[in-house]
Amino acid sequence: MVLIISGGILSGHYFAEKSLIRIHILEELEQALQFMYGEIEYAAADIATVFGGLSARSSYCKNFWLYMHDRILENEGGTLYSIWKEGLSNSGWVRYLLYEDRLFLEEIGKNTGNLDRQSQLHTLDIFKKRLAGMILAARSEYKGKAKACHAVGAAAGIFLSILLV
Amino acid sequence: MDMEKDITGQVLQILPVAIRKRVTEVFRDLSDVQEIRLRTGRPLIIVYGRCEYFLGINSGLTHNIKKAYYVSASELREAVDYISNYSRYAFEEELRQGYITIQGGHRIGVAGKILWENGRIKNMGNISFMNIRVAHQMLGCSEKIMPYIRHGDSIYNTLVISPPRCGKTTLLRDMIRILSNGDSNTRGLTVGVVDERSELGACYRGCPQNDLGCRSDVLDGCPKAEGMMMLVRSMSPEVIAVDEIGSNKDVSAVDYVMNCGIRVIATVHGLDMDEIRNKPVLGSLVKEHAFKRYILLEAGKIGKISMVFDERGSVIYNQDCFIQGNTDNGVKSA
Repeated sequence: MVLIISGGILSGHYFAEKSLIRIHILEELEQALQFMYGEIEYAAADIATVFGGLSARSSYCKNFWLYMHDRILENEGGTLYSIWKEGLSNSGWVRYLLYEDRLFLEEIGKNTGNLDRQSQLHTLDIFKKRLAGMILAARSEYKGKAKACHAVGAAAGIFLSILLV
Repeated sequence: MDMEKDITGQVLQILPVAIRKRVTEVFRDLSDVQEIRLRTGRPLIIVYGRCEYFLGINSGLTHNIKKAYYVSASELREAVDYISNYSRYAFEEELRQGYITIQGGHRIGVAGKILWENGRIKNMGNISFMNIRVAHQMLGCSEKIMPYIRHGDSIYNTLVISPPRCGKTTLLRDMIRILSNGDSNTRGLTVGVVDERSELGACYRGCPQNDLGCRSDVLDGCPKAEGMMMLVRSMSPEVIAVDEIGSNKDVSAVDYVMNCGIRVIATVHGLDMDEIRNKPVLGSLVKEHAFKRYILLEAGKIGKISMVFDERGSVIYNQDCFIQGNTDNGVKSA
């Protein structure tokens, strides 16, 4: 019985953690956008160099940036957007994100690299603001959501054990 | 052999995948190719061994336009993506100038829709024409004239005079390399190079792709006059090399550099000494004997050094001497 209740609590904890990881990933992406902005604004670095730099700085998205960097330097066809989408579909961390987050990420890929400098910086600025809003909303939701997940998990465990008894 | 492989790899890498496959079938190495021209909806042209060919639709090269491979708009976009590393924003300045230098010093000329704003080119869009010029450095082409410009441990202020496309930049590049490296008899000199159009060093990400010697400092993409002043202040060069001087500012900067005790090697467009003497701005420097040596390349003959003059205009070298050297792949060429 104790095991079933603990199992329920743990699954509740897992769902709460998933929300927390989502926040961490979004925060990392916010830093990545800031890094991209700086590299484009002050170093006029090309996008492969930027992705290479990001792969060294990231933890969750490290492999994604590395994939982007390598694929771009291969020059083996495809647009940046198609490579970006491929990279996202191969990334495990994307499963922690909501559907809206994934659409937002695809939008970033669609609007990267093929713009002039001024538009690129402006676009990144807009993305940064939107991401900041998403993080703020996710943080404010997190506490209530975590509590609910823990409560539902514990309740499910108790309910299951009562049923079994 | 390695150099040939490098050239081939560097050029192939920027070609669209479909074209790359066809070109690979035709050429084992691209070191003898001078130009590859891509135009949207037009046949792909390859200049090879100074002759022009169409890339064949099936395979090989052809002179028959009906059997030529036509370049599509998407292929040109693909090439632009590769050349710019998918980063149009990072190459705005280069696009404004009309060319991008890639690894290996190969220069990609582009043309398309110009966006004009406030009396200057703002950007270039719809790139529909592309000319890939394969870089071939001619090592040793200036060796014969070096004794005429050396002066003890230093050199004379020297002006290379030539009409366009006669090899003055190639000659200057090799002079820089030889002066910078030095040899068993002469010490190497610190050479500051102001490379406004990236023709001398062909810098890629700030690193010269052409051999400019071990004691050369290159200011890439910098206006000549400002660049010369910067080098004097920052890099304490013994020689400053600059290509195609002509404007008032350039000539004033050359004068300033000479007054700082730094030697100058420069090039200028011109047909003969009289034309240079009569140039409104540069003429004053010539009349003041600021330059001690003038190297004249002959019009219409690529790479032929016609004469070397001293400051009084007396001929000190007059031999039929073509600029002949080792191309960087070791093949003798003229």
